[in-house]
Amino acid sequence: MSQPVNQSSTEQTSYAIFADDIGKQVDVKSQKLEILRGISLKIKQGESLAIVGRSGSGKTTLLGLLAGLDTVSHGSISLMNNALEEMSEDERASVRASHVGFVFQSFQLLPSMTALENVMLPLELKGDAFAKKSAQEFLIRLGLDDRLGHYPSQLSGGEQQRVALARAFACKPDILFADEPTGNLDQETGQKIIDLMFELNEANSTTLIMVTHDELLADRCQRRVHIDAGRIVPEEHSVASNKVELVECKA
Amino acid sequence: MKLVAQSLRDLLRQTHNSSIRLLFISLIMAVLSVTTITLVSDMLKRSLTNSATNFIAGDRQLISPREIESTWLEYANKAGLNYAKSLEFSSMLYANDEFQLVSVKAVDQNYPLKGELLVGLPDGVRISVNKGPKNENVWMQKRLFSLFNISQGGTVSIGDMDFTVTHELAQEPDAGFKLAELAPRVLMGFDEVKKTGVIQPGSRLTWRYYFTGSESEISSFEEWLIPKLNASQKWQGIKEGRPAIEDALEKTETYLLLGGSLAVLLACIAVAMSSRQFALGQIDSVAIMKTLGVKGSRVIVYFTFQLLFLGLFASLIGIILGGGLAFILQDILSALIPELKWPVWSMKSVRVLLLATGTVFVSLFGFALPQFFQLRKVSPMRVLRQEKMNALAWSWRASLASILAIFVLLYGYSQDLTLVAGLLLSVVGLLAVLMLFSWMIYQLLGRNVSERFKAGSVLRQSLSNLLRRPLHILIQLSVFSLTLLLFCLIFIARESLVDNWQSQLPEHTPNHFLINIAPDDLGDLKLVLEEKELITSGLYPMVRGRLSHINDVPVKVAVTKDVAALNRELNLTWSNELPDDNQIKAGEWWQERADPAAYSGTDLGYANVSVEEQLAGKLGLELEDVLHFSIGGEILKAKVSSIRSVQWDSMRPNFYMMFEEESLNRFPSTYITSFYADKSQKQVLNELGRQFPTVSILELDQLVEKLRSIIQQVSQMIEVILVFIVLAALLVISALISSTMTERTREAALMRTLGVKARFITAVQFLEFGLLAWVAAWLALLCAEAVMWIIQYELFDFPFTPHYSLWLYLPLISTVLIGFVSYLQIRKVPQTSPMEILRMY
Repeated sequence: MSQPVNQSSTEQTSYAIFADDIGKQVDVKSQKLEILRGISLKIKQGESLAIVGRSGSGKTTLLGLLAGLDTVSHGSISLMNNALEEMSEDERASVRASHVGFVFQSFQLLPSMTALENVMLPLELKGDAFAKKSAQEFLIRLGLDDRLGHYPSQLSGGEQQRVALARAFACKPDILFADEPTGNLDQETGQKIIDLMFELNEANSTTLIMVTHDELLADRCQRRVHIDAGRIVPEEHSVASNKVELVECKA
Repeated sequence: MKLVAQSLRDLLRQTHNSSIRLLFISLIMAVLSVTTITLVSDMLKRSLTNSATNFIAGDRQLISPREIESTWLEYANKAGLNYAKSLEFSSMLYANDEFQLVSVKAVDQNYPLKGELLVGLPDGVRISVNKGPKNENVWMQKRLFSLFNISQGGTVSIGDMDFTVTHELAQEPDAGFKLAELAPRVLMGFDEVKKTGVIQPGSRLTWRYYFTGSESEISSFEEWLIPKLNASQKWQGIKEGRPAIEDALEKTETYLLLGGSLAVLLACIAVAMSSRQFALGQIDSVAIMKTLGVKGSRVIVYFTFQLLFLGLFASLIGIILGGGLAFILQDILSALIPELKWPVWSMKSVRVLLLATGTVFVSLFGFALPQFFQLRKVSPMRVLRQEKMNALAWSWRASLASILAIFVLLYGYSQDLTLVAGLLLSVVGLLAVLMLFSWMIYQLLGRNVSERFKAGSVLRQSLSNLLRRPLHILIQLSVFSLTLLLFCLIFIARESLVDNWQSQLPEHTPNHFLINIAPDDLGDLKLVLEEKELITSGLYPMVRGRLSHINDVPVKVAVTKDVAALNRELNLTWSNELPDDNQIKAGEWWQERADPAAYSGTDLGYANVSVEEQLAGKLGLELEDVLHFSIGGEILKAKVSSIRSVQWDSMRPNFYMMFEEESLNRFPSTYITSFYADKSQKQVLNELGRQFPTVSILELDQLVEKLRSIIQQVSQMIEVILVFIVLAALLVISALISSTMTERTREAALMRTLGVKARFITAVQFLEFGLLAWVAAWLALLCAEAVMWIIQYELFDFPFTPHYSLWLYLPLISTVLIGFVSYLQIRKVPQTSPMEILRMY
């Protein structure tokens, strides 16, 4: 199964993510439940990709696997040339620390930290001596100058997601994973957050991988993959601007 | 009914819920503490009292100067009690043309009801007998044999009657430790007393009646009897009869009660904290139930039944475990203490069962239910809108209910209102002080102190985790330090108690006395003792004299109270050194004086005398008072120059009155000393007896052994309490840590998505709680020392010394232990996929 990856190892290096025939099974009441199977993806650096599909189709699981938050049951994933499937949890954590940023639907800010502290956290964990300064700059850039000392509970949803964006981009990640980033926001606020995300994405030439329900949002990505019942399926309504590069699924 | 079944079903479904588990364990712990501590301490107390009653030859004694009415004894008989009697008086013993004043004890054939009566055979072997002499037989102490130069089978006379000496009296169970009366003992049959004709009207007599029976029989007899007693009659149990044992028993009782109450209190705190967690976890379910149309009151009924079931299971398991543990402890303890043969379960156990189940339900309904009452207010809107309601609001009703519950529980446990009030007030006071200190520490450090450390370091992360939650730090620091403080106090009290007892009767406590040593024998005796490597507690001269006047007023006039020491000759001694275990309480010990004649106690000048504290109190003596002693017809005048405390149970020669050497050494004297000899050195005693026939040897080794075994038992009892306190404290700490786990788990998951290694997360957690524990330990130590310094005199009457060993170990052990407990709780988090955790929020 790893043969194609080996054959194309030179090809791999130019991809931010190279997933080959990955699958995920979980044990539910001593029965194996297949959540994902036979998924292969190549995502170039700087590319933006939307993962779409119905609820329960396995989108978020796929995102978690690609980001190295969870381990594959079979197949292989290379993230910035790191073979995730061969790594221990701690090794994957190191990879995440140096290459990956996250934005979640429910923001996932730490309630006991101020906006500034939330943004500082990943920088500090990396040992950045100027964590405070960089975090402040980022928050100011996102228009949160008067919210630095506020706790998440004192911020609106849009503001919280902006803090989350600041936290994600402050570390200058190569790849940003976003899980329904506008799911908890009204349309207008959501739109602003998306604009901001794409703006930062472009400015930092970050690779963007996003799970979304939102067709319009998916349209703004350079390409999209559609997941159904754990497999990549061809789009029923293929959008012209899509440059979907589907890799043949193995049976 | 449906709701009841539903609540049981839902409860059983939630067995994996960690807050329910913790609540359940806390409840079991509360039952376990109550059951085990009460059972074991009851069992030990009974066996302790039982073995101690051997010292008074019965469970109770009635002491009277006159014969008591026969109806009293008839009543005792009817009440189911056994009794025995003895009569003590002084008389002259005559044999082989020699006279000697002896102390006669006439005993009936029931004596002794308890304890051992030992007789010595001519070959030196001692055997235990269960009856005293009768008819024309007497037993007497060894020294009398040499004094009269007779052997067993010889004849002696008391008054008008001749007796055959059939045995050497080696030990009577109720002989005192005090050596005040040194007249040798003769034991005779009770029925022969009249025939001797020595008892005349006005004779000074001591009647002793001994009683045994079950605790309830005795107490009902006691109730009947005590109102009938007059001032000269004394009813005494082991406590009144033997001050040293009384001391041990009373302090142990106080300690057990205090320690047990603390264990219960800690378990209750754990119940309160875990039930709050449990209630918090139910908020969402309640909101859903409400959207489905369940009323607030039904919610309460639902949770009340869940708590009831939880309580039932916990009581059942707790009682079974507690009873089992008590059996195991009994096994372990009885291996150490052979006298322990009391059943674990007794009639009193019904009270234990009630108390244990009571503890569960009172704590459940006092601590847990008020939290669930709050749930009634949860809005069904919560289902639609994830409100930021993370905590249940504080309610004064809930707090009041908890305080009331604690009060009821502690009172049920200790039945001592002062103790409960004192304990609660102290705990609240200490908590307030600790909160103040915690707040000060927080203010002192400041939120930004972590920035001084390297970014990304474990220390910085731990510190900033700690300091960014002022409320948490306040609660955690004060609860940790309170728990550690309570542990410290109970630990220190235990050490003080055990040390104090052991210092009273250390290894090699003198267990043999040599009495009646003639001054001529002194030099030779010293040599022999040295040669046999027997170390004495000092050789003290003894001069017998009677106190006749206080400040020129005859004592009978000056002192109206009946003080035993005035009715007989006192043993006076002289020494230029203050004995080691005596302490000057007033005045000064004397310095050597230039002109001995000037303080000879004659008209030339007063001698100095140092008086024992308690006697001085009874006689109303003060410094500079002038005392007259009549010694062999001569008067010695002395001025009180100091008042001294004496350890009467130290097994060393002790004296009421001590003089300067030059004032007393002109009177005829004999010497007394005590020393330690183990079993292998027993042979030496025979040699001493042969070489110095006039010297009496008093063997107290068995008595000392008994006393030591009692102290051993008491120390064991106290260890059990300590184990429970530690377990309950750990439970409180776990509950507190676990209450922060939801937030920590989420935080850890998020940190892992940010690429933080699992080891870093666990290290941060360990350090965070370790640091907290370290600070809490120091806070607790400082407060404990302060508290000990204040109460040690009041409660246990011991002098204060800092407990350095605790300073060394407590911060270290609590840091590691608390850090480890927190590690145990978070250790699973890095093993779960962060994806899984984040999806939950």
